[in-house]
Amino acid sequence: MTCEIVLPQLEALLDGELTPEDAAEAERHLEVCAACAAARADYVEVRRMADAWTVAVPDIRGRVTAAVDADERNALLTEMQRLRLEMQSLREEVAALRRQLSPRLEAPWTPPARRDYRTLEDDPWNLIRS
Amino acid sequence: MDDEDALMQRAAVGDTQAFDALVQVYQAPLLRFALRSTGNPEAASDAVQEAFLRLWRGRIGYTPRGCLRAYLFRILRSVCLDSLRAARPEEPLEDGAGAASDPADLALVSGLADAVRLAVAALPEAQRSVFLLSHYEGLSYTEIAEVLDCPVGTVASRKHQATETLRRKLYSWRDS
Repeated sequence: MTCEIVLPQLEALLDGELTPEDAAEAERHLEVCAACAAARADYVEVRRMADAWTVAVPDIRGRVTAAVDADERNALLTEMQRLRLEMQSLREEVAALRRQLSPRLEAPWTPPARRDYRTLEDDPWNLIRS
Repeated sequence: MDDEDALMQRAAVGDTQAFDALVQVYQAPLLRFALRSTGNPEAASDAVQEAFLRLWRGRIGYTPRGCLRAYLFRILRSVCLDSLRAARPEEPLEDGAGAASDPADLALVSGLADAVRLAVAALPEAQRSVFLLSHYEGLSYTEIAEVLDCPVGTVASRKHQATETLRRKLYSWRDS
């Protein structure tokens, strides 16, 4: 391995991301190349320096739970609203249908006029005569 | 299937206790990443809450394709980027804008922690995310590739570039 190959792989080597074969080859190069060994020491130092930046984080479980509950409530309310609108529209459809049908349903039944009974069971002689 | 995936499968059928357990497991790493990305504790808490909400809303269609941790970081990064874009619409994130501090102030700080914070904030967003996820949260390159939706080789190259930039800046700060 040459410096051009090893240098860009130093981070991956330190992170344990190289294959065992590549790592072993890189290590062999580092044993004989002072410049690459110095670069690796620099990268280790950068990691040590980066560790100085620590952050304290709060416990937000309560607010996440509250947000999830509120979200669920909102989702249910939206679904209820949708169903309510659907029911309203269904009710209107039923009312319109009832209005359409009611004159016929409520009118008294009257038999059709005699001339509509033009079948053989009705008075065949009359049919022939006419 | 690991423990977290099992918890997610239970959460997917409405088990809120399993979801609470997931929040317990992941809130600290997610908050650390959000805080280091945005530089703002309130924005970080909001972003993590939003990431968990999105996970909850998407629970029914959840299928364990990869690692849940990477999936969560992916959602969170997207939320953080949206929040940074909304806060500073005029600044491109690729140029190292985003974290709440001005990178030009590096020479003025006296503490190492502040110097690191400013140097990391000055990194281009993609390099910064790779560095934060790899160095501070210990994600593998494969997981980071999943978070950033890029090849593993790109992750390795960004990590190298980020470390090289940090080395230059931090050594220069230390020697000044």
